[in-house]
Amino acid sequence: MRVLLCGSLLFMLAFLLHIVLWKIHLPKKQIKMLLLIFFATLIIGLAGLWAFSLSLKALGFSSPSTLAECIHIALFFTSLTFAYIVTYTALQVDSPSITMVMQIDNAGPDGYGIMAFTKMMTDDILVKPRIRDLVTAELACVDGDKYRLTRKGILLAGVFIYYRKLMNYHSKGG
Amino acid sequence: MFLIYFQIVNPLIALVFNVLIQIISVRYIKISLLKSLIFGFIIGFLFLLGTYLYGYYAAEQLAVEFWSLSIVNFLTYSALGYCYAHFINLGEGARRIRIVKELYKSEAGLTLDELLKIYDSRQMIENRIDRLVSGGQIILRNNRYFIGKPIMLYIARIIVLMKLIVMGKKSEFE
Repeated sequence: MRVLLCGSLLFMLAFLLHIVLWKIHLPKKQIKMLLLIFFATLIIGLAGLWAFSLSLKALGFSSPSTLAECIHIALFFTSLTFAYIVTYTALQVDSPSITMVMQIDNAGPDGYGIMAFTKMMTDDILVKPRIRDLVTAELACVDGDKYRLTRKGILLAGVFIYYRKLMNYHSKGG
Repeated sequence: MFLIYFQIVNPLIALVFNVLIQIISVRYIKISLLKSLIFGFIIGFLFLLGTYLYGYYAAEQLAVEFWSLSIVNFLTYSALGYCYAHFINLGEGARRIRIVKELYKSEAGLTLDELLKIYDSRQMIENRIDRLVSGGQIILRNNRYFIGKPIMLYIARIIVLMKLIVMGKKSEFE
């Protein structure tokens, strides 16, 4: 029970801390900051639970008592953190499919015109911001009038291309 | 001692099963990506369930500990499985990854116009509309779109709500 309780409490604490900090100031490198907040909470939290275990026991709260329990809490917390961070990356940008569904819903019972999407969803909204994101994230750089991948970008592309080869998957996607 | 540490790494072993089954089912059985992800997740889940039933009956674990550790490990496995599904989806649908892959193919780099020609937003909109229509999430009637099965709408509303809570805005362009 201790693993479930301590892992969940630490995760909720890190999440609340992140929400409060985001309300004060939205950081430039958001993912790096999220990793810092969550893993600092885990390390400090586990150390605190270990250090104050006797005082906590007196209050009726049983904190982790073995190394195995601490490792278990760390794994549980880390998996929840990664799941949250991958969800967060999806929140950062507008998904075209989600935008389309919301536009149709907002149109009400009259429906949404077939040509409206192509008028609304231009390259300026769909593609250009994502190209800028690549430059900001240092995955690509501008060389004259051309965009080229940086070493980081080549590595990222390599991972996805290798994985497609591994699955022997050839659908175009998109 | 072995059982304690086995219980900790159990979700990681289940994830390995999940990934292996997913790759094999796409590569050799040729099922769709979505089906392969569901299939892989179920196999990993069954492995986890099997080891827990063994732990409960053969190793005579305490009922309270059994349930709390089961919840922790099923949550850990689900979070890791979700991250893996997100990784696969990223390689197929994410605009940034598509652009990175296009840049990877071109050694000399690509200009903005060349990128926009390759990654045509109109084509992308058509692909996504086709997917939403074929999945029944939206319906085309008299050249107007309407909401069909509401599942995608519910997901969209949850995402917009999460954006509001975390980022304080409904769209990246606000």
